[in-house]
Amino acid sequence: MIVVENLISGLLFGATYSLVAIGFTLVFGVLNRLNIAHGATIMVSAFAGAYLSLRLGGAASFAILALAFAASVLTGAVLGVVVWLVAFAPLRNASPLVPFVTSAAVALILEELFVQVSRRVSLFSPEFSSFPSPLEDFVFHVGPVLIRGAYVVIFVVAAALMALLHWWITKSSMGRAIRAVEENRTVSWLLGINVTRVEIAVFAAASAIAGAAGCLIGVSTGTVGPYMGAGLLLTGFVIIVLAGLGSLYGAMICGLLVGMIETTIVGMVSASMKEAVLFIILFAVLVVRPQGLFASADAQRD
Amino acid sequence: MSYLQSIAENCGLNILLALSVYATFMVGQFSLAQVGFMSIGAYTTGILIALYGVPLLPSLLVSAALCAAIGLVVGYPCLRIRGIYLAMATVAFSEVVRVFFNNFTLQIPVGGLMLGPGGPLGFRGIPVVTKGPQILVAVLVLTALFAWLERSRIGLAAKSIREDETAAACAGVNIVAMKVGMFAFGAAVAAMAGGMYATYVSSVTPDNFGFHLALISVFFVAVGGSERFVGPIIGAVVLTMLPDLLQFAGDFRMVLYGVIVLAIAVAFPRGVDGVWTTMSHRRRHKPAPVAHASRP
Repeated sequence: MIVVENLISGLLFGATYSLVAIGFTLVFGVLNRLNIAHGATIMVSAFAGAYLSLRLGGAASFAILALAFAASVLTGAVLGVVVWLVAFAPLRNASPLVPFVTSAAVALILEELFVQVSRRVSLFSPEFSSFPSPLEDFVFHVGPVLIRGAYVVIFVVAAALMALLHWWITKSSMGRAIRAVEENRTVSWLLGINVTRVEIAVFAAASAIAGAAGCLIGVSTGTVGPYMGAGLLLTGFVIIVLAGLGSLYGAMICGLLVGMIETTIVGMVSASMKEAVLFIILFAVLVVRPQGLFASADAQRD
Repeated sequence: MSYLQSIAENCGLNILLALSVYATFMVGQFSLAQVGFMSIGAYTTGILIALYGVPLLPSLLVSAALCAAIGLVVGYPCLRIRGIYLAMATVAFSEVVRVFFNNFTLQIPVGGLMLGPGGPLGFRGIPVVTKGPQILVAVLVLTALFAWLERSRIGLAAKSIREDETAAACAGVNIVAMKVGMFAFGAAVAAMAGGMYATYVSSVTPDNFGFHLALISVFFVAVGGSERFVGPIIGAVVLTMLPDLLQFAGDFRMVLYGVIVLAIAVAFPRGVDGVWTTMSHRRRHKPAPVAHASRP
């Protein structure tokens, strides 16, 4: 029974990992660069949501929770565009590893900034600030299995977001432009697609989703902290490599998979082994099948 | 005096780390595995010195040899991975090392105390046998080694691989030997950096060598310059001194640090030293001046 509970909560919580991975892989698909500031974006957005919730008394109201969610998404989108402007746009012609460094610098800046913020703003506390929500004690039983209501809500919201993203990518004209640039940047530009605008849109969307993930993670764990981004970034690495860099639907599925693997290992072996297992999986996939489980042929694009 | 001295000593240790990252950069491999090897080197040296009383130099050499061997084993499967994929694979390696030491406990009674790695609590009570002179010797030896390497045939082969691997292979360079060799060499240098660090600060935890330090080690090369061996040395010195130069910013020191690193990386994508190499390249290859009839 514990195994089933672990698997279910892993599956549900894995939806947040899916959201984290989606943003990450979306940027990689279009720009062929990793955004190391992605984890920090999640963290900042989570803080934005937590701030609203703490300020307006979110423990009792779903409306305030929705507002906090909107704040997180918006913060994410804005921050995403800022990151693009500062760390990626000026370096379009440099080697792909330079934006790794610049986005890592942005991540460092944001992390240190929020270490200071969480010390100075009275609503926050230095190590972990709380993110109150009405979902905290919401549990229910399906037969003999205990399920946390928070996880179900999170799963539903995440699934809705993924559906929205799918619709946007497949049906809208910007989505079409994004898919074109993903496939062949130069030809898309030759065909008149404004690649810069596509980049901005992708960064905004990816980071907005990251913001949503931040809010959902903050709500489900009940806390936010300045270092929460780093761990999520590394988990994101594992998921997108497993899925195949650039594969959106792979990222969605592998997020759930990694969620399940994680909770199973934490439940059955130990908490610290989960990281080791995930990273060994990452290394193995990169060596044996670098294109991941879901991607098409191009794993050597360099 | 001792404040400046400790800054200089930290610069020295960071130079060793930066050079270890540069070793793989020379063959065009962007590797964040060196912090993992630094960790292994730190723990191995610590265990040998603290628990078994082995002197510093043999301990460092054993750590280096161990990490070179591990580097060979890990570097070989990494041959076929490139660019950002290699970066992630090496991050994975360093994280696995970190988790390993988080779970590794080896406690042996030494002189009445239980000493040794204590998992997440780290390894405390390592004898402080590395001080200024040892660091200086290490830095001088490694700088000389890299200077020689840069000008030697090995360095030439390495740079050719970085420029164009296929062309280098066609010219007869043994790609496998060079890449795996430099990976193992970088691992050995990182191990010595770790061993000296552990015996300098006396207490290390697995989290000292995590993703954060990995990014900083890459900052050294990115900010200093990735073209010549001088680059990482400059980067290590500048970035080690930077937090102290930014004392005026108080608590926001590290925020400003990040801003400066960002600004340098955006303005000089090839690093500070890269500016010099680009300029001297331009000077050497200026187009011939057009002849003017009115020239005096």
